[in-house]
Amino acid sequence: MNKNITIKPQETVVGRAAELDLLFSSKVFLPIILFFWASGFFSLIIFFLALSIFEFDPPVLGLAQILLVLFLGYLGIRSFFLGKVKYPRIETLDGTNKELQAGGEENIFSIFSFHLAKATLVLFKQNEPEKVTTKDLALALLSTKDMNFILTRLGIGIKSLVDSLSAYQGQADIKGVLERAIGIALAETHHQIEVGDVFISICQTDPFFKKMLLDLKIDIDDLANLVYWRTKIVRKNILNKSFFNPQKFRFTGGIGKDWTFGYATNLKRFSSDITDAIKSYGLGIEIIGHDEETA
Amino acid sequence: MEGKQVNLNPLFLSWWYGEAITKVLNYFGTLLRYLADFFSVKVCVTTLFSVWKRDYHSMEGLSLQQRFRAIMENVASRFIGMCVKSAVLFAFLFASFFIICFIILFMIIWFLYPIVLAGLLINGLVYFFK
Repeated sequence: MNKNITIKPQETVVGRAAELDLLFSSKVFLPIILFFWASGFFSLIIFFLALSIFEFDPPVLGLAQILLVLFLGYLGIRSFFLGKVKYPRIETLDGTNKELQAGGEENIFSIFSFHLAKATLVLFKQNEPEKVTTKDLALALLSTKDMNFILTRLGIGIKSLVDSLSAYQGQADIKGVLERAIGIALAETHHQIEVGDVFISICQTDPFFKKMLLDLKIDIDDLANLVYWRTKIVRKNILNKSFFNPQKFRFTGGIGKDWTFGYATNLKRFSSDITDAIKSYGLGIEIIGHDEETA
Repeated sequence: MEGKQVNLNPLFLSWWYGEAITKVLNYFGTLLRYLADFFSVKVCVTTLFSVWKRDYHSMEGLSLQQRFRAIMENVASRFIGMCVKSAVLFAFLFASFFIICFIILFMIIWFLYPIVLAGLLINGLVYFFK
């Protein structure tokens, strides 16, 4: 089945997103991005002042309009990048898995999460998948924030892990590792293959990582729970950053929610009704792992 | 390893006039629902003529004069409730009007985005070189 897996970053949207992100997050582009924001603020201030008290010469108003066009154009492209390219709504993970099971050919890079795509872009762009080893893949993953989060909680230092990997050759079955990662991602209810899913897959298949977990007395389920935890945090952060996110609204009943009740002076003095807040926000308690304790 | 590169331009158009519009409309729909929730529209409408905070005086066992007083107090309580709730409903309608106007304007700009940008740019250049 591994033969049906292809890894072609440039043919995927997420691959292009990772490529563009690498380009635009460089220090060269930072002043350009700042310029776009500054143009937006400058033009809005000019328009505001022109509407209120000041009278500007036509060239100043013209310049403000040109800068506003640049800013609005930038905002449109940015929202496209964040809303569609960087965090696409992929509902094909299960479909891809079924397609692979049925013997169809799939470019597995298209179901990589943005962070995984960014971490492995250079690796898969410059090398044939057959030449990439589990060691190369693990080293690429170690540079991500996800792995920093996971390894810190496992008590593993990234530097010491990189040092210990230096003498290791790695295994060549990278397609097998990625195929296994699809199953892990599905089990973890992920929308895409995340960095942690690939790391779990490496730990399940590669003898070096198997031994490392064994030596540290870490169960693979603990690792899976950490990955689940990390992905939940990332998902929450993405939702919080999203501007047009309807889930940001909290329905509490509003200003007149207790107008239908009678006066309850003492009750109101010493207590507060949190029913609607709990309905809307939830308790904010989530237990990941500790299945035996919570059973 | 160089393959054919995916073209993002058609994807941008399909996203802008498809997925993104759905998302924005969903957001504004929720905003209007939130507004109705914030002003407790359901409570205000269903209990518009109810007594304020259930401050109702029973007339059982009262004399005629006391009954008359209780009736007056109940009417006053209903009137206060109606005034407060009407004011809140009016505030809701007022806020909704401005938000709906904003949504309509926003959607027009969203649909005509390329034309708006081109228009602004041409106008800006004309002004700049005036």
